Amino acid sequence: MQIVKIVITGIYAVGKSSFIRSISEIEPVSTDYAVSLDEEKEIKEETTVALDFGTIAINDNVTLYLFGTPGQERFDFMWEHLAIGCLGYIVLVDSCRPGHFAETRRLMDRFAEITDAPFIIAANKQDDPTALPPFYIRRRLAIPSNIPVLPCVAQERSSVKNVLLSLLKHIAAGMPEKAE
Amino acid sequence: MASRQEQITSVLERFASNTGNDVAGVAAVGMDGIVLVSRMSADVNADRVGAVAATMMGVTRRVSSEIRIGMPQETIIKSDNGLFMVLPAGDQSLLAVNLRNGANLGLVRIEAREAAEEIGRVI
Repeated sequence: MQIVKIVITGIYAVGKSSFIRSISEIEPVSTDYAVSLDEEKEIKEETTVALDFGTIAINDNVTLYLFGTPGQERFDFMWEHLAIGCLGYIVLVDSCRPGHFAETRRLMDRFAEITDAPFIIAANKQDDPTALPPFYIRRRLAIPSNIPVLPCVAQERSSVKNVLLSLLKHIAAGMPEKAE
Repeated sequence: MASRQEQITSVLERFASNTGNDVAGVAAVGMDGIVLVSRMSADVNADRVGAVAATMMGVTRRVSSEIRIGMPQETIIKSDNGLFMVLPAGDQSLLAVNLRNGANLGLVRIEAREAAEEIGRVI
């Protein structure tokens, strides 16, 4: 069986832990602690401090190991460690919080320094009436046209599955042709 | 010539037999958090243990570098009902050891260091 390591990243409170929880076949590892900073507490009560971890078998031969990162920049050393050996990564974006797009852009730039692995963008919370459409998010984040920006609802298994399969397709498309 | 997998397995088995009842489980894990060989007991999920053990390594390296004390050689957690130990095995992997309460920690540390060095040479 082949194990494929995928990293799920994104800034604070975009839905990384939910994304993994929705699809994992094992009870996911989560490392949530109560939030103490007031500005973060306004958004949610608990946050990932080390990692989230879950697994999902795609077929008899391939199992994805999903590693979710903490969102806050103060934990960016964990990004480096979690990115070791990853074949691709997903950047989750909160489609309802355009004020945080600049921070997402910074995270993407940081990740590009850490790893050369291919990535796609998942525009989360598309079930929210205030969600901005993926094409607008693509423009705001200056995503080149060869990188997919997909709509996503992290609580819905089928949506998460679609995003993961798209990433696998994107990884396969970028692989060099086998030498003769 | 035995495969890498078989060589690591025999190192872990020798470690388990040398430490006897002190060790409840042991695994060799890549720095990427993916288990290479596991001899963890059935009541723990080895994949989850591998992921958190690699995370511990990342965190302890960071702590050591923040306080400028070099690279960590081992990390030991003492909990209510046992101990857990993580140590680097070469540059690309680590050894994770689950110890029973009341284990002879000194002996296990010596054996673990040897096993980790051997695994580091194989990988």
